[in-house]
Amino acid sequence: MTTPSQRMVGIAELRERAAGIKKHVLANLDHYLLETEKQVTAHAGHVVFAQTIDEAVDYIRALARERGVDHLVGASATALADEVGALRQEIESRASEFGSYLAGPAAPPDRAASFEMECLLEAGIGVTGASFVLADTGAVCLAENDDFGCLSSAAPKIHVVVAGMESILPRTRDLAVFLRLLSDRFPHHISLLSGKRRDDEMDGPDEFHLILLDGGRSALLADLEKRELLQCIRCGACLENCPVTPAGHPGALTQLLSLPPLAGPFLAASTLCGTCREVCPVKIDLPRLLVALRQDHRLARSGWRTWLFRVWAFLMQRPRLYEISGLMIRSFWPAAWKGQRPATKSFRQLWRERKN
Amino acid sequence: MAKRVSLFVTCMVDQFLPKVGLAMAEVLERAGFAVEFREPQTCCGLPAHQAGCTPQARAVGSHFLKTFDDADFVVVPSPTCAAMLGRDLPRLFADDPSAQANAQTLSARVWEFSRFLLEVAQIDSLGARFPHRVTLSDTCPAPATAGPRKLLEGVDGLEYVEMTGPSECCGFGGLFRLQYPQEAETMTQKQVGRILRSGATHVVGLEVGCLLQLRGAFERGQHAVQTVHLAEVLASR
Repeated sequence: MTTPSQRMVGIAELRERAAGIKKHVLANLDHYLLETEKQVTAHAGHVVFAQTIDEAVDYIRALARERGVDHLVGASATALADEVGALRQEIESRASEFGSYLAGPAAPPDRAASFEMECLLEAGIGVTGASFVLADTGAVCLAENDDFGCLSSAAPKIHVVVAGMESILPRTRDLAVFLRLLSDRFPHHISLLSGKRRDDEMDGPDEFHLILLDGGRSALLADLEKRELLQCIRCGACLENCPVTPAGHPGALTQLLSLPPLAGPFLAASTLCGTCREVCPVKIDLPRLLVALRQDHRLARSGWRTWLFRVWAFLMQRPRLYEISGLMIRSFWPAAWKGQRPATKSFRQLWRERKN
Repeated sequence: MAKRVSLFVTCMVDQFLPKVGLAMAEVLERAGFAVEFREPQTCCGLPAHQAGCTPQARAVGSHFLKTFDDADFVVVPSPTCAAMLGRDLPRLFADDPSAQANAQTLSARVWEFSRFLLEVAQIDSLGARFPHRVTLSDTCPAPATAGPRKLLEGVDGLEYVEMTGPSECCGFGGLFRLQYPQEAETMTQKQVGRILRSGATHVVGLEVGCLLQLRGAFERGQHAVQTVHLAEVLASR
């Protein structure tokens, strides 16, 4: 017999499992997408595949028109942080007197609870972003800081869930791994919702729509070198612990974690110290991917840096030239850089002297 | 017959802190190895690799492979260069299986200095004496490791103090400090603060770039703290 404490799994093993589950899902995503569709449909929900976030917005817009809905509410979609902009616009463009309302990071901190409730009761459609979609039951898991997503799914007649297609987990029990990895990051309201309200249930929506979003994910899936990025569960641990961010720069990770990853100038803003890799709950080798992205960027456009490295590589393959260049650089070292001043004699000079 | 060890001192040690290379040679000789230095060696290729200039990194990496082709052990006084040679270099030859296999064979024989002492030489005390109060500034690609601390424990007269709070990146990061000097300085000052608060008179590092970055900050701030490489501590008597 094992005691409960013996059965508690250490964080290291949890990370191992989480990474394993994510890798398995990504390798079999076609299967799990179909499985999810089957299960959601079995629970009287609708599944939609959207190529882009605009397609998802179009779907919601058409749905609102068809059902004669003026008010939408949206709840923070932590899991879709980068993509939520277009959704936000759509929701805000439908703002009337009460306004449609999007909770989450952009919400004013002093928002009144009563205002929130009025919005919720007025709204015809509630839009939420799921952290996880469970293939075995067709349920979605909303993990949030407040209970707004939970309410947005309960009060309006129609509940629309948007989820990145990589957020599928094979089994409900996999949440035991992922929620524990998330739980030390931020306090949670966890909702598990499946399908529409059943006849014997008190509340819940009359319609349930799940939009599975591609948004560049299938292209990333096909890229074997960078596929690992799709393991990301958008917990933010890497950004929180990056030493560059508090030093006043958004850093390179934000570019790496965009969908698709952006090859741009900020990519250099990392010391590749590896803290992100150490804290990542799904063990993504972020420094390696950052270098891979820098590689793509270099291949796309060779600037002065590439030329500098061409000269450098030429010297580094010719020991005599390397030695002479080193001597010259050491002799003409700017006095202003004295903190990092070079030595008077190189190691190879000292080694020759030592031998004689 | 004594086992043969090849030094790869790195371009940083060669040009900036040659005393680290000499100290490393001394420690290895004291540990009973026959130490050699192969003159054609230059750089491991890391700067180009980190910048995304793969063809150039591969060219310089190939030069390393050629230079150390028949070496038994290559010992490196830098965790980042050792990781470049031991982990990243074979990956650069992904499209050339025979070159990759060749790189892998040599990569497996590349050792970071402290790991070599503990895992290959299996020595944790070399009769070193360093009567100072010392803290360790961990080097980034490896998480805080017990290895260097264990080696410091075996040093006579050394008083070890741990930094308060986790050791973070010192802000060097190769080209990072040239491109983002302000951010680098903020990071350096944070690490300097942690070192000063520890009350240590000497900060030990495994990585020459970090030591230079910290030395510059201590000199500018007129702090008396000395920066030393682990090899220098182990070589002192």
